[in-house]
Amino acid sequence: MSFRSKMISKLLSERPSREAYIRSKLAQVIPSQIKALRLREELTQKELGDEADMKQARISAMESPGEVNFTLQTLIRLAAALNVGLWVEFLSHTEMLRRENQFSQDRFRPVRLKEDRAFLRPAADEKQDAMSNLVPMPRLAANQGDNADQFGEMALMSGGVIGNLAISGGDTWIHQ
Amino acid sequence: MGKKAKDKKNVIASMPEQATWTFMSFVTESGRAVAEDWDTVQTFAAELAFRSMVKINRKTTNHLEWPAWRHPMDEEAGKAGVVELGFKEDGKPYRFLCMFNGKKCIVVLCVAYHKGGVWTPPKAVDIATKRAKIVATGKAKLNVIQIEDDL
Repeated sequence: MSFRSKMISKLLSERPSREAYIRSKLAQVIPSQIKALRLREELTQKELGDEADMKQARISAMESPGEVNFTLQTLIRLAAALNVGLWVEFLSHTEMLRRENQFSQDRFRPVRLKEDRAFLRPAADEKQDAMSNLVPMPRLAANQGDNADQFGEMALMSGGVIGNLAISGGDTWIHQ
Repeated sequence: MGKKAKDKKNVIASMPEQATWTFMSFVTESGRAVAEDWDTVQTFAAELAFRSMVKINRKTTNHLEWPAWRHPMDEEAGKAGVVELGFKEDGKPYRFLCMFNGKKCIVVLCVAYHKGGVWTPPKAVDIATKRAKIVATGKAKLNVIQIEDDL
């Protein structure tokens, strides 16, 4: 019987084996992520410990597979200290395996909070900010109203440097 | 180049090349691959943990960044190139005494426990040192540890 066949049989029949399977993945991947993040920040274990209010020895243990039973609070504190987010979810075994296979410590580089532009400046805010930089153009003459939608295109085709055009509430605005 | 080949080229995702280490097992004279048939009690949970360890470590370029990396051994074992990897499972500190063997290749020489300065089996370090010396001569039989992505 292959190891995989033996494993599947155990997973289907015994809860402790299912626990062992899940633990075997997390016990490697979590320390691997912590280590990758700490090294990216060029922090020593002591420095990360200071950031997270933990002792260096505890950071060392958390980077060693199976040494620590992580609590959610510990992970939250580490994520906060490392300036990244954290998400825990239940999922299928297929998905768990896929994520383990795709995981690479070398390439594990979640965006830091201070560089997370999509989070810090959501699209709506950026749009709002962009609108505040606009200046109004004179309204089009009444007889041009029916063709107002074409105005922007015409202006752009004329070759003048006018920036991007935006239409808002019937007025035409130009980015400065 | 035909259209089909061009299309195929377009869908290949651009991914940086991954570091790939090869994990090998020392094979004893009796034909026992020590990474598959351990010198310690080999529980299902520990075996799973070992496989996960190999899967994660083999993709990490710098071995000093492996979570399971511990240190090079001291004294004669160290001179023979023996290094220690490890993890805890079933409440036991499993230790994998290994040596590097060529580019991005590591050989498991002995699987043991190490707790409170006590090795199980007691001569684990001597066994690993002796095996390391055989590997260094190029006369050792080694098996590649195959860990498939479906485990």
